[in-house]
Amino acid sequence: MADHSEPTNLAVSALAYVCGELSPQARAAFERRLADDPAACEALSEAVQLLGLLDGQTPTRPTPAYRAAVRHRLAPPAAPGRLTGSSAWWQSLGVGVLAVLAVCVCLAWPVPQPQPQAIGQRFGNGQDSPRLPSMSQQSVPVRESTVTQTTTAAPQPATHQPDPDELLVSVWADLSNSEHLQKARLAHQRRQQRITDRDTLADPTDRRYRRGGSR
Amino acid sequence: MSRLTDAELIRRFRTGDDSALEALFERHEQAVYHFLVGLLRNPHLAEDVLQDTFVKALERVSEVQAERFKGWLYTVAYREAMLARRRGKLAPSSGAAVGEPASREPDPCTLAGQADEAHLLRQLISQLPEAQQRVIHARIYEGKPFHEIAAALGCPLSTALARMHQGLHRLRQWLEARHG
Repeated sequence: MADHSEPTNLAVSALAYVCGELSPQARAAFERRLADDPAACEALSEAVQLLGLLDGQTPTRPTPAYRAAVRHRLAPPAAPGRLTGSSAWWQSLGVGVLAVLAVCVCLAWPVPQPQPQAIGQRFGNGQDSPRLPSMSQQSVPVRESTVTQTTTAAPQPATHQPDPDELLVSVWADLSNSEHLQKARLAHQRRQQRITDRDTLADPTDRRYRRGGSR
Repeated sequence: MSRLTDAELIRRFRTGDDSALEALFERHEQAVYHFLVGLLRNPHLAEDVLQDTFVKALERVSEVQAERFKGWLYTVAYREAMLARRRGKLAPSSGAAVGEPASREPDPCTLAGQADEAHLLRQLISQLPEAQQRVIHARIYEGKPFHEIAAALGCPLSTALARMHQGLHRLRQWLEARHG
């Protein structure tokens, strides 16, 4: 019977290794042997298992969770567009639901309406339009073209009439940009120069000055 | 599935048969796990390294002969355990020995985990040959190191270790027979 046979030297060495009974040199030699000797590995495994019978602390098996982790790490990453079966079906369903939700949210979201009273209060002028600085007033042609482009670029419902305060706020926002201020300043200088030239030449039939004067 | 050879299980695993992977786990995990516990002296770390071992071994399974799969597992496990040691995850191998009693007090219940198991073990140990009983008693219940036990018994260290091994081997056979 196997239990009557003498354990091999390897089994005894493994038991001594596990019990910490080997000298440092013998321990290092045994570990070197473990690197490429499956029989030594088997002997070590059995020694641990045998001692585990008595110590009541060494788990007899690893927890099953490690198997799931191995499966997860071995699973190839799914390539986009190559899903098959139920995975693809669930993914399609998820995308569809998200799209419908996005549309519903967009439709149901309240569109903020301009509040003239609030804007007027912001400028400290009630129902009246806010009074802009003189530099801005002189650059009205530039602002008008900007406003026209804005309104044509963003189509509004036919019944919607742009609120004057709203327009002024957007114009003011445009003028707050330093580039626009610079343009307005240059336009103002050119206009002043034309007026000076017109006065100097005193030629009222010139179309350019007539158009400039009509502004 | 359990009757299939490693070669056949590996072939099925490559075709995506999950039950083949499960059978490979069942067949080899316990031995490799105990091997790692012996090397690392830490069951939790041994389980982490066991996970790394199976992943690495199965990723490169095409490079090894299927009939040597278990030896391949041990080789990978050894490398992974050495890597874990170098990463400083654990105490060196000269740390606490497996099977060392947690307390020097003779406490069969603690040593065996449960009172019933301890009682059963004591019964079984009492049926062992006298020489084996004395070694196991001195080691497990008195916590003596083997060189002291050998000196007390007047025998070489290897003899004391061999008696311990024989006694444990027989105990395992009896326990397996009882638990079916």
